[in-house]
Amino acid sequence: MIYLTLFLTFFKIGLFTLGGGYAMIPLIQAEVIDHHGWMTIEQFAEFVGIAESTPGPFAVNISTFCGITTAGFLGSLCATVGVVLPSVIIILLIAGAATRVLGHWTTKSALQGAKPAVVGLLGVAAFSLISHSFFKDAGEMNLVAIALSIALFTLTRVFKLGAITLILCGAVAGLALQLCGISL
Amino acid sequence: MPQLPETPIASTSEESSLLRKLLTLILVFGKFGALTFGGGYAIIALMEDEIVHRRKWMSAEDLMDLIAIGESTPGPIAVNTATFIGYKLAGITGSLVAVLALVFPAWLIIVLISGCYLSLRDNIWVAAALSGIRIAAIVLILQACLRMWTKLKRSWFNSIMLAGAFYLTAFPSINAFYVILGALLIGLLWHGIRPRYLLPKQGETP
Repeated sequence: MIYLTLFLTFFKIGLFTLGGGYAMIPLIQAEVIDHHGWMTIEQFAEFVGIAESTPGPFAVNISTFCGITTAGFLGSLCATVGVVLPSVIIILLIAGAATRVLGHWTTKSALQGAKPAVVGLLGVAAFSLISHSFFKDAGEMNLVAIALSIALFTLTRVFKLGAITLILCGAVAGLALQLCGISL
Repeated sequence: MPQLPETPIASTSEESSLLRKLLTLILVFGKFGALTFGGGYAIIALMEDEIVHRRKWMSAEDLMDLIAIGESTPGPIAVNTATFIGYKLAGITGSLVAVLALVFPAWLIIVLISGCYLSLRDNIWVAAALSGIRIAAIVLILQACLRMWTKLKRSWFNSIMLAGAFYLTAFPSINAFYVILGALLIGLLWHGIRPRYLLPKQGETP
């Protein structure tokens, strides 16, 4: 049953997200794209862009998006409730003794191990998104995409653009290229 | 529950009725959910302004403690922090209300947008804009990755763990969940068990 699967998948994703919204990206990729095949990696990149330019926690936006495109309205409910529930359960369980639980050496040392690994995982996610966008199906390089991403990256570094401005720049660039008859 | 005078919530949160507290929680967290762009940390900045300075629900230090807890428990930081603040102010009901209020606007907006997305994404112009957005999203993820990397303490343990996680998920394509589980275990062994039980205690070494 798709609804239960969605709920359980996003419950698992919420449970293993250590270090905020972006840490969720490799997990979504592993489950939603690679394992279940609910969406393509290109679609996922679009979702990330849209989720970043809409209000609210990124994790909630992206889960809702995955849920609704996979199984409609009810699917969005299942995914969103699933992703949030582990947070609520864990916080309520430890609420009375949070500083003791999190200050305990077992928790601290385990998290010290997870922290660098999460960065590595996000690196892989970025890497696979890049390789999908930079190479066309035949394996030839997509020079326009490479040039655009270098330009956007430089822009954000130099002008410290916010996420929404960056997304807008991307959209405008896409439209402008289409006007010139170049497809990304 | 003591009888309540009709006073503003901000100054006498302890005495105000549960219902009013819950309503305020809905308003405050609904606002966080509906008006903050850019995820967890943007919400946290707004939380400090609203919860510490305007409503005086708790001191800045207390809020920082809650945020630190939200960062080191699994799940989205904003959701964790909202759960905790709701719990501190109005118990379990408070935590559920705060989370629902935070999540609902974000959920609703995506539900509305996704309708347009699904019906328009094949339009040539929309598709062109989306392909540009895709590149921008990649840049965002890359930046988040770099940001997390610069915040990481430079140590050979961290370098090996980072490189190991990268290698294992990229090449033998080991599922990210197992990598995280393994990393938690290695952290526990290396930073927890080893200095505690395996290394000689400082006082005992000659």
